[in-house]
Amino acid sequence: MTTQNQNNSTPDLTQRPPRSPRIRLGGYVLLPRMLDKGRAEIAGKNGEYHYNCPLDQHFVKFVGIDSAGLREQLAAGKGDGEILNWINETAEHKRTPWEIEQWSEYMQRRGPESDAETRAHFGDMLGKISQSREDITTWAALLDLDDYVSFGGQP
Amino acid sequence: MNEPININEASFEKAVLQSPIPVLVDFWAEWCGPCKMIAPLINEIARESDGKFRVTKVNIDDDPALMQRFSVRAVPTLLFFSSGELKDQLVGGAPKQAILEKLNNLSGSSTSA
Repeated sequence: MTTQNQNNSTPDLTQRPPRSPRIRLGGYVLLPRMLDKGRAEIAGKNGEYHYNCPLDQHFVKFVGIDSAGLREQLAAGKGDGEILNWINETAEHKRTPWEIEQWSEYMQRRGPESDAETRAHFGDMLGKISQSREDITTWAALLDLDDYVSFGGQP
Repeated sequence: MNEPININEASFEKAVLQSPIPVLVDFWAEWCGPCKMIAPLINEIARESDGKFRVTKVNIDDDPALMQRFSVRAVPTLLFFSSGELKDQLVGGAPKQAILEKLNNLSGSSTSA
């Protein structure tokens, strides 16, 4: 039996975090997290989480879909498998398995290396969570830690 | 100073296959980390080419046909052409010296041919 907090069709992100950015759907990292945020936003239970955030937009751009269109699919109550089918059918870029794998690996390992402003932002975010977690060097690790701490975990 | 030339399927024939000098073709993507790492090296090589070879780039998202034509299965992939033929390739991030070595080998064979 599922409680309201555990219902994955309408996740309540005021009570628990979305899935980790490292979890994959169809080989794509970030996607399950994006879907959780979209479903929660539609239900008005997204809390501090935002659908179509800059990280989500990496996925949107990679496959070439319309994030508003994806949101409509979520609003229709479709499950992960149905959503994946919709993405595969409508995506502008029909990605091959090696592209998906290489992209996901890169996104999973991606750190704030692009520019000084991004590095500073990453440092600020991490600094608010922990002053000692020097092992946190990727966006995925930072988001996982943030999720953990946001719901009572100790960094 | 020469810069890498962005090419696509339409310009490939003239820019690469009909080139009188050896050509490096860099298959890359915006979402590819190693591509960003070697991009400055590719730019340097283009600037230092001194007319001995040509440096070109193919964005695989803009032109997947070329990627399929040459069975590219990872990015970056560097293809080396001379006299209209594919002669060599490097897959993944490669040091500048390794890229130059292959180009210089082609330049040498192209000059003596």
